[in-house]
Amino acid sequence: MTTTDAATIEAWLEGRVVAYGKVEADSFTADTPLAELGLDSVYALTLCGDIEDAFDLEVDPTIVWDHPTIRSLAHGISERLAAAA
Amino acid sequence: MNAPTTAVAVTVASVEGVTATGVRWRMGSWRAAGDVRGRHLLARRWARELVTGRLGRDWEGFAPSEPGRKPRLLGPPGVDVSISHGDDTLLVAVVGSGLVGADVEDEPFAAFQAPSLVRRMCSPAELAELAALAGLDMPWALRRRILASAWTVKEATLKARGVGLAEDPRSVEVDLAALAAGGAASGPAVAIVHLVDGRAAVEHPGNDGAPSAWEGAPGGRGDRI
Repeated sequence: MTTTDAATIEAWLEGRVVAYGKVEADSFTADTPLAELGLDSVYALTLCGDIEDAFDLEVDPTIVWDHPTIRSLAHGISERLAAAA
Repeated sequence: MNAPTTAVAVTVASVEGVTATGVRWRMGSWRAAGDVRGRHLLARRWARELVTGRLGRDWEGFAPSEPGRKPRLLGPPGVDVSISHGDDTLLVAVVGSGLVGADVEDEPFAAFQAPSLVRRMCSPAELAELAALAGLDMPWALRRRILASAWTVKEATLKARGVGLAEDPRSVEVDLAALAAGGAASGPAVAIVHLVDGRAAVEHPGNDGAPSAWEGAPGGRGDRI
């Protein structure tokens, strides 16, 4: 994926969270705290690997503590991608 | 202000034990406690009961905690605590001296199927070891269990050090072949790591077949456990 658009990244993140199987697709919003979406340390690390695969961007799992919602995390990834471009 | 742990009135079936190095632990299903809030309160109640009832120390409560960091007690001096939960299982461990980390993962360990996770949790040496094991026609379910067990050791070690995922889990190397040879056939993957006097003691409560007690491995970064 070559986008830096936060809305596109947000939709991708929502897809990943649903794929992890801890929550139903219509049970959360982009502002729901990640901790309430079952995003524990295992899935935080998995998400880092998925971000690396999808955006060619290496991030540390602590990014989910710095950006505790999908909306905030999408903006954080967008900013890092823009800075790396 | 700390939550009043006495607010939890549910009775939860649990098992207790003590490791060879004196870590007191309790484990059981947290589902009867209700939601995430109920689980949180249950964990704190178990911690208090282990500190007062098993270590025989005073209860001074929890210090304010930071996201992603292990819980800290206000006292007494030397007492350390670690809390972990899976989809169903809650594990609480306390110790009177040294540092403790605990981790539990529930079956079917679906997360450990993902290549993106395996790549981020395993060192190059561990990946090579995993590939060698896979060459022995290892079933996927066993592969997931070995990885889940390895993860609990890594996570418990990082928790004991108080760094969590701020430190790369690939820096904690685990003997995957030993886990494959001695691991449990069913039930949650569990690890308790006790760091004391510069060494790491690793135990797998509830898994009679796994290596336990003093592994003789130094507890420093980069050492194999």
